[in-house]
Amino acid sequence: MATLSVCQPPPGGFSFDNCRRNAVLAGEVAAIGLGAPAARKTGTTICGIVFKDGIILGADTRATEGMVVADKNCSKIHYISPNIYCCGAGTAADTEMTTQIISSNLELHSLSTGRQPRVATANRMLKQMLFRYQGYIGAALVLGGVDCNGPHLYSIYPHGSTDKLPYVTMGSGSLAAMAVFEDRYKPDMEEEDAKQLVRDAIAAGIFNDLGSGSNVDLCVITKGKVDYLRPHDEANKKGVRAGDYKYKRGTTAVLTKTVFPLKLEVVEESIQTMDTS
Amino acid sequence: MASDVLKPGGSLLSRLARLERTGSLSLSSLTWGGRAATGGRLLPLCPERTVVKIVTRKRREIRDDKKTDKTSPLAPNPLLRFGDASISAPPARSEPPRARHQSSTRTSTSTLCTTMLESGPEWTSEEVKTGTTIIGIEFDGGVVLGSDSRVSAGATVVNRVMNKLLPLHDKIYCALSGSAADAQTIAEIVNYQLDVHSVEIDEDPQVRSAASLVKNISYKYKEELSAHLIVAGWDRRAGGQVYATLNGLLTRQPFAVGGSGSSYIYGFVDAEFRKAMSRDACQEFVINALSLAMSRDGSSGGVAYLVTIDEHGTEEKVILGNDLPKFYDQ
Repeated sequence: MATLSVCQPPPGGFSFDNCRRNAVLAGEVAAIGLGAPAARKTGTTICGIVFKDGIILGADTRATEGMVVADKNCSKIHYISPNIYCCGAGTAADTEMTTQIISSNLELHSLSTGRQPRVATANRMLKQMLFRYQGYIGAALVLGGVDCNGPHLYSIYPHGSTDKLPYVTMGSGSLAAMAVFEDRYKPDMEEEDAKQLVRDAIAAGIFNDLGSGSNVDLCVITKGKVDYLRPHDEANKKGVRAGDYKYKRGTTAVLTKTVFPLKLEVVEESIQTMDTS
Repeated sequence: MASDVLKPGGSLLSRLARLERTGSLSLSSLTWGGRAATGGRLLPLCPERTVVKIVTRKRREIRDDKKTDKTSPLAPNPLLRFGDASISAPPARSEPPRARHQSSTRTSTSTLCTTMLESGPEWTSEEVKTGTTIIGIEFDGGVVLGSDSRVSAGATVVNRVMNKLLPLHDKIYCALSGSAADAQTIAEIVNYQLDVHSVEIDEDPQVRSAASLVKNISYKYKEELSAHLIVAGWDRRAGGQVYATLNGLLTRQPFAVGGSGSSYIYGFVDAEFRKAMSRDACQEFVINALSLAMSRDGSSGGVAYLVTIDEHGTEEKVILGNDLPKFYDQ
């Protein structure tokens, strides 16, 4: 009976020991001269604003892999529930999967309660998941939506801290976008003014930050209606080529022409049916 | 040689020491595994066998190539010398492993730990912290809690209006400082636990119980968390109380200051604090202390939040930047 009391319950919590091992191995791999594959990040400018009737979320559309643009038109505004959307900055895979997991859990929760989900619930679920992983899930999110208590806007950091504010920006271009917001934000703006402000804030990020670029996506959420404007503004259209390198037929003279017909026989013919049902 | 290590019997350390002596193994590349480096507690970074196998095999191949090789056991990391191309590897690289081996194992682990932390994902080094000044003071019949409103991540202010005074219960509040995520999480967990507790005892919880719950979490996860909460409130039995829970201790004090800005105002609060101040005098004391700290500490700033809790209720106040008292500022 004495030995039973000596048994200790297994310590709870996730074990992050392999993360340290990975970091050391990455260093040793770099010493040999190889490189670990770079995770695709959304360099990003994302922002959100509360206006008179609801929430406007904005995002750029560039995804980078190291110093190369991997996707010129990726979608950073993710669906959480019919009245809640979430922009994601940081590692693309992390933001994508985190928002999908919470979207799925929130739908089950809403079916179980029988009510439209609240933004505070989504915020709680996201922050608890990110805290559990102690910052190793690199997802910095701007969560916004309209529920029974009105419009709400949250910013969620990779370690699990959240802020509830009337306007937020995240990502590498957040300082450029915040400068625009701090200058021109007013409480209870009209929809058109608010859309223009968000567009300008994202444009500031696109043109002044290397990690952000291409187009501006907007998502306008009001009570009962969501406008997903993708793209709202194509700030960086690809240019039209000025010159043409095609030469007319006959530019080069033909001196001789010889034709060799190849005699081929059909040796074997086999047909494989495809199940297209 | 590799099979020596895999033989049962004897601790890993003695086996490694035997290989080290015979010159076929360099312990410098093993400082991050094995019992020696951790003073008895095994760091489960990677299966021991895999580690040892890699190092010894490479070492042997090098020895076969160069019969006249006078490499000592303290030679640079064998991985660098693998193949002719890397013989001209920069000498700088060879220094750290040698230095690490010669220093005590405890230091070598900590050096390595620092390196490992630095080479982690970049957002872990840009953690959001509430730089902060927080202060709680007790008066006859209640408490006053005050905080600044700045939240920083590195050199960027991510929120300039954060209210760091979170409610744990109707008449019990806590002030957050340290890592924002850790502090918010502790406050939310204790809020939930206090709700359950107050339903179980069927009355309002004591401030001491709330502080105790915060202390339990801070102590149990001392290594993993970096947050300090000051718990203050009013209850029927002991009136207004302020508790500090730094590092897992629990102490009741007439007043408590915390956060990075608190170091600038210890002199001020020690000199200006009087016992049995009135409610208004306490509020003025808190506002003065906060504004002095905010003007000297880079990580504190924004507006000042004040919460006054007494028998009759809870009052929350915000003092905006230009309404804060001004002191010598040239």
